[in-house]
Amino acid sequence: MTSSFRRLLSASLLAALTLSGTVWADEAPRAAAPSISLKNLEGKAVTLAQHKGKVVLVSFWATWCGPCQQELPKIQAIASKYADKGLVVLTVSVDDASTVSQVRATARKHHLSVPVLLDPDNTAIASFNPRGDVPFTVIIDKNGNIAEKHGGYAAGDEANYEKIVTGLLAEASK
Amino acid sequence: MKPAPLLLGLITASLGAGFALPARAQDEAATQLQVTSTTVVEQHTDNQDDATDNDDYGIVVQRLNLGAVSNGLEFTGRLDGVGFRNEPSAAYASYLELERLGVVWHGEKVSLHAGDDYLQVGRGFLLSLRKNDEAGLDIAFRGASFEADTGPIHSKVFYGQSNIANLDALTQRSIVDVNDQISGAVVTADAGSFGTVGLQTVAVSTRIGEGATATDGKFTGVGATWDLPAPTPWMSAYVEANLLRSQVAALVEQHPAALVSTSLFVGDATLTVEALTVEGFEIKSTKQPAVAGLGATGATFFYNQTPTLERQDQEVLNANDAQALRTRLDYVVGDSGLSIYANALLRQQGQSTVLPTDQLHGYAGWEFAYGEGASHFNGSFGARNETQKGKDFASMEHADIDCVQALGGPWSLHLTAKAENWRKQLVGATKAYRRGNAIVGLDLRGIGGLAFEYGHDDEKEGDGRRIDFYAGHINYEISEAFTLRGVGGSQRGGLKCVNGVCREYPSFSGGRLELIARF
Repeated sequence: MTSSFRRLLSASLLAALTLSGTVWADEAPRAAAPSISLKNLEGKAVTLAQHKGKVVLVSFWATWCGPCQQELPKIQAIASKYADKGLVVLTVSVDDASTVSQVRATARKHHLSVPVLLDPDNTAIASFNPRGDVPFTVIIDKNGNIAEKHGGYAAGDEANYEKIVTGLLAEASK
Repeated sequence: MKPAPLLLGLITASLGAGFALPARAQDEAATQLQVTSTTVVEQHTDNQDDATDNDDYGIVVQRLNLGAVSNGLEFTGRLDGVGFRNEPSAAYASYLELERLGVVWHGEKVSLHAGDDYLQVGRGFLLSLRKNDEAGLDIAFRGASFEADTGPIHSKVFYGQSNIANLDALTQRSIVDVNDQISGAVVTADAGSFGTVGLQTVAVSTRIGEGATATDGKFTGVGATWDLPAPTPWMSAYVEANLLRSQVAALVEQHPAALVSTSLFVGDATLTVEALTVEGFEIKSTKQPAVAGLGATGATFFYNQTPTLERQDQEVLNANDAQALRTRLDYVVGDSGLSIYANALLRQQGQSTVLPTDQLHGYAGWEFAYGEGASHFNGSFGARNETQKGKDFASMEHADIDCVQALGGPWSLHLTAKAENWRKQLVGATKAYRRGNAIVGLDLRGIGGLAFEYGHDDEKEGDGRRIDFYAGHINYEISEAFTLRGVGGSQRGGLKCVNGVCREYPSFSGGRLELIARF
């Protein structure tokens, strides 16, 4: 093994172990959510700051992403179920210039009534998920801190989102 | 690479991130870090392609992304480390670099950004600096930008240079920073029921050619946009027109580009019609040095990305010199969970070249969700035909399916398959070949999954080249924060296109482990 390969591998493993320790610590704090400022399908500016003090679920998706199509109706269902309890749901399309024209048709297909925001240069998703893969779901507490980040979608993941959302809504109502 | 700083840097960053987290209380004022760490370890064996300089080596890639918000400031950073074992040539270079660093301040009406950021102007004709993992490229803007919202007027100005991630994710060869100068401005105004109108300009300075004969290349573009996102409940429209002036030594050229995109909504149907024209509309980076191994004479990358109107996964012969017309009809069949669509595209490409190509591509498909959305059965099929000067050049039929079947409880079965059947006219012969792949897997929610992949590509068969590929995949969600992915076996390579960015990537043979940590 060459030294650079071996040392980088060792450093990576050490980093992983160090980070593991922090995550599994009981009092792992929540990081503050970066800002979001994007336009919705109606061309109006929507920011995360507008929803300060509320529990917010942000779902990043794309028209060409299969699991996203499976997840979007579930996100809409959660939004409808908890809207009167104060939950705000924002969906963010990361489609670029070649596919952005399909965003509205996709939103209609899934009967989305939640806001659909456009992130054409991927700056918003990069600040939450630098890997940029979708679907990616973020749940933010009433203080504007990130309570949950989840990449990918498997049928039933929405039950976990609901559990976290109900917990945060209860926390917010205290 | 200097191993000592590498080790020191990674450990310091990791420990710093680790100790910072538990040291803070959970309240609004404290600064907490967002951490995303990706560690990839690969061992390549002989992939049985034509090249001999991409076999039998090992690589470790460590990407550590950090983000923090404090007192109205948002910080982002990314530390990249790459190490090789038995690197086949000097084109594979180990390095450690602070690849991204940025800070942004948001005021009530203005915001300031310094450092690295992604940036797109309009629909990308004039500038599109973004991360495109599937094409192996990650190009950011490094500089300063200022944004202001004053009533109905939104404006943004930026000045800086390009910052290309130094590892080509497809070939794993190194990419050199060329630091081309980039500046521009965008102003949009809310025109009430007339939507939003905008003006945009971009200037890019590069070096054209190599060595002593290299000369400055200057690209200056101006454009206008008109966005009517919802003038009525039944339609939306977007119009963009641009003019690019390129100057290389004494040669000055002008290139136009325009896009019209409209959607009509009638009941459960959506009709989209788009028209595009681009003539030699490309803003190329300074050429990579040949030592980077990205081609015998180096390679360039585009700082703009024009819409193609093609399906995202399709080969596009010429993205920057084309006229195209596309229509697509989507129809949702009530609440049945079924939606169907049909798409037709005509593209005329390279009209100013010696081999202009006309392309006709039609496809149709369906998406059907059932079992309360837990299962789905999607598919599509289509055909495309290409002619050059009126003679058949290539034709292709394609089909793909994507199924997920919930099996009860946390279990589900998935099947994804895609096949292309090609015929190309070569000098004195017709070349027929097939390529595609199929993945069948079993998923256990909250735990992960196992999958088997079969791939086939006989475009370049013979001379001991592999045409059948077999791989096993494992995905293990260790905890909410940690995911481990593994691949063993072989996967096909070939020409890969993502939204018009087409690159040849090598087939893979060996083993890969990826550990992702997010918190």
